[in-house]
Amino acid sequence: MNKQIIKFINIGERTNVTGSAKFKKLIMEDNFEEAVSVAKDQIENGAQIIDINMDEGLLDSELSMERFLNLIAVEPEIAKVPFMIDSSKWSVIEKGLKCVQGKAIVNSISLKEGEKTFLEQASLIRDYGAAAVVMAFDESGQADTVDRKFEICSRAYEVLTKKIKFPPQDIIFDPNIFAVATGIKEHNNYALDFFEATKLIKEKLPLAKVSGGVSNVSFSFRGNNQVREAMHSCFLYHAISAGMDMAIVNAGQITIYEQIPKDLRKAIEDVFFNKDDGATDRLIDISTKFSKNVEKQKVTKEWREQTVEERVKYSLINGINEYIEKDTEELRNKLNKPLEIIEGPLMDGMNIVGDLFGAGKMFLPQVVKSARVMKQSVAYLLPFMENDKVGSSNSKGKILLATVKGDVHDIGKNIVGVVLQCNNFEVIDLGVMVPCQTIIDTAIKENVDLIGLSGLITPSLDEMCFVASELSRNKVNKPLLIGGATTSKIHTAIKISPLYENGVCHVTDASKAVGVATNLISKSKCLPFIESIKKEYQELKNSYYKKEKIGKENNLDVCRKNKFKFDWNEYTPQKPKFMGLKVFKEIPIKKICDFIDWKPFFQSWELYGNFPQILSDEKVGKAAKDLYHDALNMLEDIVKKKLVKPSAVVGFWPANSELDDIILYENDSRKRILNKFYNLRQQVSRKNSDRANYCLSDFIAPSTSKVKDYIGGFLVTAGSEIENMSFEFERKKDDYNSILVKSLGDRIAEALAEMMHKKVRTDLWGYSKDENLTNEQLIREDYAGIRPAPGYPACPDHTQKETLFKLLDINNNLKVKLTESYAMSPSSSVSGLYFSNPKASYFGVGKINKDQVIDYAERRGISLEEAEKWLAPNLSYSPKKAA
Amino acid sequence: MLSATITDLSGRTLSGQTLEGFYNSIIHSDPLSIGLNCALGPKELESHLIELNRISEYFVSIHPNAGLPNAFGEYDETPQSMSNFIKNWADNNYINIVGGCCGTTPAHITLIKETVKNKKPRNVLQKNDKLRLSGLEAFNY
Repeated sequence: MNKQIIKFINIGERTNVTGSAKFKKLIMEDNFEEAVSVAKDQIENGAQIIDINMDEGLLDSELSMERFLNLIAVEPEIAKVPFMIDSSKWSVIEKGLKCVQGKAIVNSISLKEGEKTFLEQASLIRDYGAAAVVMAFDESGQADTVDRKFEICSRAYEVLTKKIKFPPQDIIFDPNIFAVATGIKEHNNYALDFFEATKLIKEKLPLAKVSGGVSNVSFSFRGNNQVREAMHSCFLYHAISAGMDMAIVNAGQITIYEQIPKDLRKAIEDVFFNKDDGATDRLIDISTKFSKNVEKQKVTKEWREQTVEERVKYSLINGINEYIEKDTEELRNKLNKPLEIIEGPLMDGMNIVGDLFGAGKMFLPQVVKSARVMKQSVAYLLPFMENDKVGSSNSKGKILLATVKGDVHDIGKNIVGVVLQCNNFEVIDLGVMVPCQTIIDTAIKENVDLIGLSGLITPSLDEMCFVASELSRNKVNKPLLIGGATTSKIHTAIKISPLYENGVCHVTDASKAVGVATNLISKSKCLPFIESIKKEYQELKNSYYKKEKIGKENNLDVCRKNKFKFDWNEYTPQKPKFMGLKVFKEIPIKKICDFIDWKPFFQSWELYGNFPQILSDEKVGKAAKDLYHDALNMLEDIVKKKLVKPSAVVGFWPANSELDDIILYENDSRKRILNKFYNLRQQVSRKNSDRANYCLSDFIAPSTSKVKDYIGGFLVTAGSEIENMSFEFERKKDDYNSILVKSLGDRIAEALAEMMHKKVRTDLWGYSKDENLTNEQLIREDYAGIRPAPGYPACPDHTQKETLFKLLDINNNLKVKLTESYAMSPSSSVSGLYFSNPKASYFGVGKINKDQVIDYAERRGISLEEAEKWLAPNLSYSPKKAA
Repeated sequence: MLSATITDLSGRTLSGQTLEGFYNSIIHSDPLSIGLNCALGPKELESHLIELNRISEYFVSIHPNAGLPNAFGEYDETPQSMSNFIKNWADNNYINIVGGCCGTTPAHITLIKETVKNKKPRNVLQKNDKLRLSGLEAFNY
């Protein structure tokens, strides 16, 4: 940013109590936290410096300045830019100067009280290390004509540079922007005076800068924002041409000069350049044409002409949130009660959305957008509603949703919540990592009709069993829905269903959830539905135990003998470039984007198909395209504003295998053991096949071979910012973007894992230096070597992450934590091991027998019960419940 | 004489400023020299030194530590390994003032002194006349 020539500096004006009503209100209400977000918004909207002003009679301005500056100092997204400390009181300025770390700008000092005070203040500014805005103001008043402006500025320049050696490049003149078109003849030349004075200053006072507060110029058009914004834009255009370097503006609201309607632009410019006496009248005339709504009307589409009920319906179905507050307000004036609006037009619209979704004519991303419109409308109505009526009275039913304790994944759960709300369910979402007791307490207190549990990692399965048995013990006799990537019909049937009498149903996705929930809350359908599921699960259970009887021929010894065979004499493993760890922080997101695999992204939104073909798919193409468009926009935003800070740790260690274990050594002398990875071996019968019973240790040279082999480990994370952003959207009732940013976060983490793996193969480990694969080939895993992750099929035990975290020294290197169920938090993180063996391939361990579990527990030094607990999904047998 | 410490791999000072951000906030003091000392070791310091060399209109000082203490509380950079770095810096004319920080010993300093004995010091950049501001990051106009 600072290398290129910036032609003009935007100074954000909103953090100013005299300029922004919103900011003033927040400060007066002592809501400094929210006020901080005003600063952040401005920077997001392009302000390169922010002006901060606390000059308000009822405020302790010194204290407020100090407090606000200290608050924003700890927000890196705000503190990165220089601050402009703005006050007419020197004591406030000095207080501010004592708080700032960087080189700030003082706004402002002047010759108003004479040269002595002026120079004293300027010297202090110099001592504090700041630049200064000098206002064209002297002992006899504020300069309004070009001559007076220039006269005062040259005098100030003279004394500053000569008497106290103030660096001329640190002097910024403010030659006063005054309101024009006020009807007072003396004001007619104000704009022109400013332009001319600017030219003179830039020409005659070397290195000095010119700044100004632009909003003043349009003061007489208060209330007509379109005309005001057009005036600001025109003014900037001409002032910059005259040499103005910076201006205090509302960074988010600068109209593009070229886009100002020609007739308006001409009228404005006639006023600025004081063309003739009629200029002001002409601008006033034309300005009525551009009162607030005109702009909107000009882009009005046909649907905007219909009745307000129809418009709301249209907005809901098409997910347009642009007009919803305005239309809701109109409805509020039309109907008696806010509740009638919710239960009338809003629900009518959402029912259509629900029907279209059910009929497969609308798709998930579109539905989530519709829900956003609904939520924003309801949020608008809430303040007008009587307290007792807030929860819509005729909802179909109340459902509690929670991601169980130890798990942090919630994209799927959030989607289900939104879709259920669209279908007129009242949803109580308890969020992630919800303890069992909270679920029980809430279910009882809120008297919910249904309970939905969600989880993504395998240990969550056990927690769900626990919740089910506790719900049963506490006599919460409400049907239970089970969902999430780790759950399955078979697990629900075998493990959860027996623990809970009152109906347990596994749901695969959001579209299924609506049907299931509708059946379960229906008085007439509920019992038959539960019975039919119970029957289905019973049958599943019977056939499962029949199939899974494992014979003696594949005991662990037999399987170990049938391991994957590799000729170690013919192979010398490549030694990685370094041993130990390397940390990569703030990896440029742009690079990562090249590695994104979009297919799973669409899957998370229940759009199935290959990428990019899905974008032109006959059925889901439009939904996919819109979603992709929104995703790219958000990604661009993330890239541009560097909103996330992805990081990674990579490590390599000397390693050899001993049976199914991988031994890691402290160094290449291989004398001292650093740690061990304990692996599981496929135990499926290979009697009639020549395939091996794979185990990850087979890909590492055995210690008996004397071959020096190595293993790598990694953890990558998209960073905690993703969750903050998601939360921020949620707060604004914007589920769509909240879910979108999370699903993108997951993609960024996966893409980063892919990118780091490539770097490892071609550089850090360097065993495939000449690899040249396209992104498609990467996604197809055409490369040499693998990167299996604990908790996934090749090494299903999540607890191995603990070893990996220790080896990678995650506590000191990254802000990623493990929950008690070994889920990584933030959830947009990926960890795993690197194997370089050219014959290494991915496989699934599958079902394992008790002999292996006993052996595994012994190797790890844990009890059989504990091993069975963590390996539950892989057990081929039903373990005895620990007492 | 001013010296800053870049405390971790983020490349920022402990209070979050980039090197140039820091530079912009202190040049009004018109120091004799601006430099870097500590914190991770000479290898990690090198890129920051190159950055300082690019921007500094004052003498540049450099005082690396002998690496971070290892598991036994000892420093891994030997007088020789450290001098190798410093030789390279001196050959590139990056530095005016040189020494050692944490973990360096008289042996380190002696060898450093030998290493730079006949080397040419860095040429100080001409003062530039941009408006230079900063928050955590530098803003030059």
